Amino acid sequence: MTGFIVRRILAMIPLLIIVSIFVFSIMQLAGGNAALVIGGTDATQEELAQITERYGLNRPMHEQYRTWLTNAVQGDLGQSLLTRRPVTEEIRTRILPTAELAFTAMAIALLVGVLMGIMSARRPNSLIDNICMLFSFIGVAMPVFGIGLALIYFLGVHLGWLPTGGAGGLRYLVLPAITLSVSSIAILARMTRSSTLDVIRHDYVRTARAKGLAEGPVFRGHVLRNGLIPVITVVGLEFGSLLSGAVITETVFSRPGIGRLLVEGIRSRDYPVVQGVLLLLAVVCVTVNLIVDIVYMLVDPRIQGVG
Amino acid sequence: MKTSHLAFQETSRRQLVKHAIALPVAGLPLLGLSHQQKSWAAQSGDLITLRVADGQEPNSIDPHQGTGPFGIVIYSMFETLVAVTEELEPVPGLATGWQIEDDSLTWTFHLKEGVTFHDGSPFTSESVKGSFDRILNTDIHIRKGSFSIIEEVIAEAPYVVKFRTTSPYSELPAFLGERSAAIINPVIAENLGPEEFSVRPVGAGTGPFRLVEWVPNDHITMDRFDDYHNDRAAVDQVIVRFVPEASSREAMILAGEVDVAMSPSPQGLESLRNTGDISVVVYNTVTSVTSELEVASPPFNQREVRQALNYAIDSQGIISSIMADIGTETTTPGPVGLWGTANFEPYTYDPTKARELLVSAGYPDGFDCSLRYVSGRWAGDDQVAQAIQAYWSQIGVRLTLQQVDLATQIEMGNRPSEETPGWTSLQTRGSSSVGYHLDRLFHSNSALPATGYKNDEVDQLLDAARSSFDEDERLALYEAAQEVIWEDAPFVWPFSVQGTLAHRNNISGLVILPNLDVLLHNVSIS
Repeated sequence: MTGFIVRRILAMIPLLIIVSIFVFSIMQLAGGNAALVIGGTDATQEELAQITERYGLNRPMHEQYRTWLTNAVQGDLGQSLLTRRPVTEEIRTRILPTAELAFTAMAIALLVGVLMGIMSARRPNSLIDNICMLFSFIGVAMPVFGIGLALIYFLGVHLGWLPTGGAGGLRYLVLPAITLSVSSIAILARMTRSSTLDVIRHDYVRTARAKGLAEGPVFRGHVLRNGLIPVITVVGLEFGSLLSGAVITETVFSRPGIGRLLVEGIRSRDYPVVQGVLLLLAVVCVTVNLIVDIVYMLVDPRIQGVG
Repeated sequence: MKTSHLAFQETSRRQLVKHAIALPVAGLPLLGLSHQQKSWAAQSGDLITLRVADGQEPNSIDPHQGTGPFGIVIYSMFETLVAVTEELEPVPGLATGWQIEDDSLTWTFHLKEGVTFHDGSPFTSESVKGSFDRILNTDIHIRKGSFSIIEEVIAEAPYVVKFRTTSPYSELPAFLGERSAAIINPVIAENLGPEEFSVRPVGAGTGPFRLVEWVPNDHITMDRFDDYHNDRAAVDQVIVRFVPEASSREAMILAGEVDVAMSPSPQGLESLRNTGDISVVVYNTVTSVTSELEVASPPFNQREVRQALNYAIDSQGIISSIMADIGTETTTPGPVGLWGTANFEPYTYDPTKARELLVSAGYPDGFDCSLRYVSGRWAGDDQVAQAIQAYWSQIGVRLTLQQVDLATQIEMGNRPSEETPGWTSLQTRGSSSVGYHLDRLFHSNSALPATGYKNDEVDQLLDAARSSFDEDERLALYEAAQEVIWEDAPFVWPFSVQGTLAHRNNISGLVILPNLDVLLHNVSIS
């Protein structure tokens, strides 16, 4: 068990290095002139040249990468080109709203999605099943910002029940969290339904029923225990998509989070910020997947030691 | 003429998708939904609070480090020696008056007495010297290069300051009216250091409002400064929230969460107007869309050709079918609506005249040329490029559209004109001073991207204006230069950009400058 975890952690290192190269080069290759961003459109060529020199924007890319990585490993992600504040500071002040949002959305998605999946699986092709599956179709198909704007107009503007955006207490969290959770609810519901139905057809479930067990205990003890294992994997994957969804949700709901920081960074070619945030997101994703693997192993002893 | 509209109404699929989504959502309030005036923003006590949703956030609220967009915040907190009118004409600000000495290099500014900074310390000539020392002698100021015209600042007496320039520079007062020349309390700047001062320059300004807090990506809160040296502001507090999505800003003003929403989307204006208690303001900006021709080589080296290309474009058609009626026909090569900008007869749409001009220039069958532009920099840029292509095709000019990234655009703009014959580039141009604008776009010495434009008469007029200290004479010189440029048409001017803003009807006194800065001094809420 310990050996497995250590191996997995060591395997993360090359992965993160590849990710860091990718993250570093993607903004550089995207083009755009950071000097112009810093100087503003009114800046003269002379001023642009001064800025380029001052921020080292003219140094070769591999050199810039080496400096960046060396500092990043020591927890220094550089300075925002635009605000000149340390990137770590920019991230630190925004991590809480994003964490709040991602975890709340995950909780909603797990609760509602798994519940819907189970309800559907218990009575396949019933009215409830059809409603749930229709919802999950729509949920997967609707773009996040579409859902967000629709919720803002109905619940925020028309009914006036909830604030349309910003950050603050719980009230400010409701709409963005619902918005963000919709597609995960949909995917979790479908996943739960299909894997549960899969298990129901197995011999040991028939045996359990045949030996006279009531439907409730059969479902809880035999079907769910096994049916939910694949769902754990999906939860890990969904966490990544929640983070990317947060990028859009935070913009639509004007929440001061990591996603918003990323969007504004990309818009203004603020390389250090974009690189820092992407690196952080990559680390979070890799870590969450590690945790999922560990949980997986705890839940399903058959997987012990594999990988 | 309307046939050509078909050509550019074939919007790309992305545009269609964008509209398909934007329209139903923007239309929702029209579906018989009533607007409840519930307000979620806390009305703290009996304070009169002005709440604003702005799409753009400054990168720093230190006027020397920041490059904006400042919108509401910077002029509310900081002031300049020279203030500006709604047409950006220089008028007394923290300085009550100024004059130039006989050497044409030394300016004397008399400072207003009895002005205090937000921390209570007095504003004197030392504050001015300190501010400019910070600009000139440190690496803090992002546009330090522009200030190199100032050689020295001398605090001669407590309320007298002398500026010495390196060469005669008649535009100095206008230049000192720019927000990047704002006066700060140098002691506070020194104590806090540039990083802290960039985010929390508390107490460092002399403006009608003082900073309470800035939470990046969320909001800035300002309080009224009770010891302000002019009339006190009528509102107690201002909260500016940063909301990047136009539709979210519209939702906020509809829900009553804010009193003012900057730049709502053109599609959203109708539903905002229909509510009855929200007014939509459409205002002129200094900015024009330009298609800048490489004039050094054929075919753009002939004036007839350039004029023909201007006559071939239907500005009104572009404004109404692409820009949702937000825009005006361009009537000047200068920054639109500014003090010193002269207006001329527009190149009104006339394809027949355009064709005749082409024939007389020796291009009866038209010619091939290319337009490069950066897609997605402003709403409608793709369609405007397509419209230009469609209009020019009517007079036989075959235009190839080429999307480039910003770096390429800049790089190509820096190449000598001869290397890129037959090219034109789509830009937006505007600045807060007519002299600066004309110098950098049309003077042959300009350091900015060369279109290869060189007209000795223009150069002479601009040089003369720069060193003319008689205001009337200077304005006349600028007007003469603009007339020559307008006739010469080194650019094609499709239209001028307007801005939009929505405010609740109980707000009055909001002043929007054509450079998009907003003055809150006289805002009141009834």
